[in-house]
Amino acid sequence: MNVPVLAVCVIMFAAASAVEAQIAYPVDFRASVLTSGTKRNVSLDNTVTGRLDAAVTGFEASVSPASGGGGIGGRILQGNFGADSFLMREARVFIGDKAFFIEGAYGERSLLGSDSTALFSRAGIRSTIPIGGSGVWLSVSGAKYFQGDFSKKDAASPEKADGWEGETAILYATPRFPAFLRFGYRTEYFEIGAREEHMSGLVLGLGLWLGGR
Amino acid sequence: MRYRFACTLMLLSNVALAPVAAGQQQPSPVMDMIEKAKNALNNLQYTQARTTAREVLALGKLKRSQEIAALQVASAAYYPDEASARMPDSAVIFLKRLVRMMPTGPFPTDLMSPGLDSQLVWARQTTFGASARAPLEVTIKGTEPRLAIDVMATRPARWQLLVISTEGVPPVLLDTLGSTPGGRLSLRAHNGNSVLIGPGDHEFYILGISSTSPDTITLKFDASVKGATPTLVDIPDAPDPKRLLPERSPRALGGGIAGGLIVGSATWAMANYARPPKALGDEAKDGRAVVVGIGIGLGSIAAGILDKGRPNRTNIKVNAATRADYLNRLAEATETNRKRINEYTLAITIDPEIK
Repeated sequence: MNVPVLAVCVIMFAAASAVEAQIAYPVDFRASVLTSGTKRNVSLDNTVTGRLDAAVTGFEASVSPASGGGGIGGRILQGNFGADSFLMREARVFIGDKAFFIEGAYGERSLLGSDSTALFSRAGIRSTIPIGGSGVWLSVSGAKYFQGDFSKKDAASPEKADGWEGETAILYATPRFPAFLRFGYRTEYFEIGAREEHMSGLVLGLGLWLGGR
Repeated sequence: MRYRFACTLMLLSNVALAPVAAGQQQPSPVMDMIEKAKNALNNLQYTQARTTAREVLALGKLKRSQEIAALQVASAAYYPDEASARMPDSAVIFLKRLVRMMPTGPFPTDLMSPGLDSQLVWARQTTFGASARAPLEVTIKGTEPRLAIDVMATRPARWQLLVISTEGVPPVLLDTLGSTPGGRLSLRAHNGNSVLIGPGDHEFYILGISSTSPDTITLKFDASVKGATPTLVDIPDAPDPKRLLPERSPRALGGGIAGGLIVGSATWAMANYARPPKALGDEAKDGRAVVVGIGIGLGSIAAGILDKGRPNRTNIKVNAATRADYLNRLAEATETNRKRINEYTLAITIDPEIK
């Protein structure tokens, strides 16, 4: 996370203790910036070729009716592992009530040691539940990656995307300001063709949360 | 005696005005005796005057005005103009009794003398006396206080005006005055919550409490009050807190502990068991997951402990509507009662004779 973004976030939270914001929003809108100290292990043809650490930063947002039911969202993650840059972008839809969602996503991600990107689709579940009225929420999610480039589905030797991801987090939503803090752990495994990546990291996030709390 | 001529004139005027006076004050044996004592005094028969005045005072159950008149004659009889006939010690006794009841005002002209006046001044300087004067008729309305009863004393005193309606009912305090030798006490029909003075027969008590010595004088007026007590509507009861809907969910202590254990354990399990296949699976595990898992677990448990419950917006709205309805009904009842209280009018007839 770069310095200006961090400064903006600090100012937002400084104001949080002084501002009343008990407004009933018609939507549940969440937008956050996050940073993750990520370990990335890469293998090619079942041989580990890289073990790199880097800070992956990103932006995540979603919007849904305040009463729940479903919504849309997206995520961008990027970082530099040595000379290689990492980028992942996805758009997602989800259905469910306020505490439990089934979600599907479609996106692309860069491949280490290559200028190309891989398309993927993803399906999974996500649950976010409050601990009473304390402002603390617990979040658990898990998903599986699937093929993204369907044009190669019937090719002779398609490079099928595969893998999974999991994430746990604890969130604290400030009572007087529509902001939240996030602290969690994320791990994912992504495979396409002979390339495999395993990434895991401690996630810190700061965001805006309007409605739906 | 240089007052004899004046007294003679007064007697003549009394005879001339007798028909008029008869309508104001009933002749009585007591007043006759007082008049007899005065006559003896005017005839320089001091012993006779003293004896007669003492006989009157010994009768007991005298009206206050009769007692004052008798004390005035007794004082004058013991302290006449003729210096050799004076008995100052005895005069002081009667003067002090007189001052207790008559803190202000001069002697009647037919008894007045410079020597006696100076004795009266001295007695007032050394004796606490208090009296009051009430109007014959007064009309009061609502909660508005009406200045009505004059009080006076020989020295600063604190004053209280109380009314007693029926026996067994505690006195109702109507008005007070701070330390002052004189002032005016107010009557009030209603205090906004309850009737202070209702229709019927009453006794008004005035307490004069000396500010300089432990001495209290109680004065009483009888009064008859006419009017109709206002009928007030019942003030609605406040909503029973037990019947209001809970505005918060129960504390989430259990949820915090269970959630912390589950999600914290899941974090650890994810790092240790959700391993990639093949060569990547042999790589070192990420030990940070343990720290994160413990952090999530402890954070969740702390949240459960500190939780006060989640606000229930629906119940909060319902309760707010219940409270608003109560406040509306309360305002209506209060306004109705305020109007009725303001229209509450009493006509008070007071017997001016202090008991």
